[in-house]
Amino acid sequence: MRLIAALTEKPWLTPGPGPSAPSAPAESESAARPWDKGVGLTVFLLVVTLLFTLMSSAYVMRMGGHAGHAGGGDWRPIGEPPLLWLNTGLLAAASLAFHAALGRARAGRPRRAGAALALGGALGLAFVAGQLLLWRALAGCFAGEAAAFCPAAAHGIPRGWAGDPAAAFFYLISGAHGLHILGGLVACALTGGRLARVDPGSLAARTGAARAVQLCARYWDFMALVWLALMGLFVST
Amino acid sequence: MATIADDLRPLHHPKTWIGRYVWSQDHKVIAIQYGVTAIGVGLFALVLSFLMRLQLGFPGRFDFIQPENYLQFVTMHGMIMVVYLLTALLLGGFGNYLIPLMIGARDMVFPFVNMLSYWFYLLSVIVLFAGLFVPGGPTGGGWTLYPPQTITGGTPGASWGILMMMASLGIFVIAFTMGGLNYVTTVLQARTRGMTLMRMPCSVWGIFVASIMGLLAFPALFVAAIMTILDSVVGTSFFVPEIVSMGEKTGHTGGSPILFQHLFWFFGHPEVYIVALPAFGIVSDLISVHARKNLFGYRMMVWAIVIIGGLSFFVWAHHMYVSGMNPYFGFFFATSTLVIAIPTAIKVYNWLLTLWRGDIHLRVPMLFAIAFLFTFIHGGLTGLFLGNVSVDVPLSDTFFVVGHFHMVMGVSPVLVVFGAIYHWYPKITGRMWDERLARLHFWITFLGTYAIFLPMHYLGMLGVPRRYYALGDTVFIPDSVHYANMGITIAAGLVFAAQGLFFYNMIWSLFRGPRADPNPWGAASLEWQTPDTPPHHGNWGERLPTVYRWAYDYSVPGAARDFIPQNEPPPAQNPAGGPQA
Ligand code: HEM
Ligand SMILES: [Cu+2]
Repeated sequence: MRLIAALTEKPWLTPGPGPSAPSAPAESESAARPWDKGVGLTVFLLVVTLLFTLMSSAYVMRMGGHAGHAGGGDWRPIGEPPLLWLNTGLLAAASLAFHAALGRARAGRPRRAGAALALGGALGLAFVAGQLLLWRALAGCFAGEAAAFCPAAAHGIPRGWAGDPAAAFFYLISGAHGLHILGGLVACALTGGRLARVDPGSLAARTGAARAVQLCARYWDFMALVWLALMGLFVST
Repeated sequence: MATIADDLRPLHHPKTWIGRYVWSQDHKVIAIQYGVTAIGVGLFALVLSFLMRLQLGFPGRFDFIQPENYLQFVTMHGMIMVVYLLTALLLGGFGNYLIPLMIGARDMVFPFVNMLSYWFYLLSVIVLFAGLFVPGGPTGGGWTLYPPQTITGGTPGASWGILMMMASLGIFVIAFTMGGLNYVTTVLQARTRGMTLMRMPCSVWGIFVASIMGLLAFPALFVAAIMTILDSVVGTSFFVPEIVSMGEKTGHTGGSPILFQHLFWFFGHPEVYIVALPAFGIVSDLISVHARKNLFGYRMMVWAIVIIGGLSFFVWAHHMYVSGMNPYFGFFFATSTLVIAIPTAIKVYNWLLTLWRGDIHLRVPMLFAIAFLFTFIHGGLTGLFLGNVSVDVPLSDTFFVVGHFHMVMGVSPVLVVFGAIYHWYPKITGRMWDERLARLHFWITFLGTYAIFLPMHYLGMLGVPRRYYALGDTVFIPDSVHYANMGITIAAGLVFAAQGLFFYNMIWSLFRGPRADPNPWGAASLEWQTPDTPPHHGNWGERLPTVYRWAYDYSVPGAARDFIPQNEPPPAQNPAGGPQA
């Protein structure tokens, strides 16, 4: 509604100072900086959403499930090894840890927030390691080893990169997701460093740090959701 | 880092010359870096187009243009013009320069990311040019880069060239994302007091919406690029079906070339509007300023920009009518395509109505703006032909298409870019260019582009195919085609040479031009009201401006001058600029 009101303003009728723009500093509260980073992150997440939506659409279209446009009929679903579920759990746990960090940072306890953040980071790293193991298992399938992951186990001989689009897509999509996780880990490590340096006596420094943690938590929640959606895609197809 | 009186954002103050002009975080310097790089690359693409014209006009006369070279020229020319010139120049160049100044900010909200954006862009350009020197040369697959032909033997650059192209595009997308994040967030967050959304000039609106579109569309190109690289290097079969190339099976199975086309055009069509919307916005401002009239239907103009931006994500498959899609899709996409004509036509009418009974000053920026109306209407009308499936099928892949898209997205934005450069040059450099040279440049360019692209429509109706090195002895090609081709080439040579006037004028005026008035056109928008010309670091001196009105108060009855700057308080208000509630 506010947006509609803003877009239907008749600017030629209303000379005057007008309602303040979002960032116009209020006279009283000069400590708060406009939260550009929050908005910036939201915009960025929009881009990431599109990236993964497009890759998922490509996945579905290549499967041949898309009207008017058959894939090559060579699609063989990959298996669902238990590690996949374990990794998902690790990611969710990391998300919880980041929220714990946020709670503590907001409560004005930067050091303890830092500890929770570190835990979250460690869980995130564990997730990445788990994904690498999955990748190895899949590569093993191509080399002819039988494993829970292998399309071959259920559907005949392995065909390798060229012949197993589902596996190729798994690498592509989980790889892109993993890179985003790594990027998030770097950002959260920087935030951790900031938490360690923050002067607990300064309100401004503490709120600033809490906001940084909030950005981490938000990013992490988002990447966890993306992973859940991707899991849904992998498991259901 | 220091904050200035009433602004809570810290401003980065460089200490060294390198910090100020090379690794600069100042949006104005970054804008100029973007602009100069883009124009330099564009010049290269222009040379390529002239080489192509030489071959088409005088087939076989030039030994150094072999068939594979021709295809490489076509590809590099198209890609550079669309992505590395126009996108970079309109958003990275004009977006960077104009957004903070027009909305009353001191800089972009993430200056460091903004700087990175430029350096990534430069890297993408370097990789692109490195692609010229790899074994096999650059790719010759056409700017659309459709697999499988781009990565199978027989196409120039199928092994290395295509990889360099895709890598370069990937880097470009990263650069654009960093820039686009800045443009969008800055518009949302850093507007000065009183600068409501609907008080922003149309230029900012165009750049803003185009940036959002870019953020949403470029990921498709990114995904397509990565998947092509994997198909080529690792041997996956995302796009490449089972094929026999040069008598041997490639090993791929079952990939879907159509999938690439969907991804490419999900980017490619919005890309047209990523280039067009900033041009629309800028043209609206040029016309209003130089006709000394408020913009007719400002709100409709803004809404049209937003609606066009939204709709253009639902039309991509009109580029695929002949690709073997399900025919029902063709119907859907034809309809959505024609629907876009409505907001676009509204914009055209509003421009014309702004001119209607205006106090038109035919200065050079205005000449270019009016020229844009000609070429854009022209290209828009031929677009209606091509938007219809049944008309498109025979015209597809002919020179009619080449004529159409050059009119609508080649020449039109370029004319706006010229107009915009002439318009803002006095603000950017503090100097004025030479009027006579500028007029000469305008007339040769404008008439020349008609001489080049109008005959192409005729060639296309005769069935002359695009992306052909030579026509040879083809039954349905009459002699007149060859004469037309010669004529086009001569016109292209003239236009090419005339750009020398522009560069000479710009560079000479930079050092020798007369000092410019801070507001030579009597424009009302904020960028002309800076305390210094050219604006200093931080743009606004001690205090940010306060905005009291929209950007189009021209020829207001009863006002002292024929324009009222956006930051001039209404008479009842305390004019001293004291604190406002
Ligand atoms: C005077 C300036 C220009 C001339 C003489 C020119 C000429 C040409 C020629 C001869 C072709 C190849 C036709 C063919 O064989 O298929 C071409 C293709 C193309 N041009 Fe231009 N052009 C000019 C400016 C531009 C501009 C400003 C743009 C910006 C959008 C542009 C975009 C393209 C594209 C996208 C293609 C298609 C490439 C492909 O088929 O892959 N051109 N141009
Ligand atoms: Cu299109």
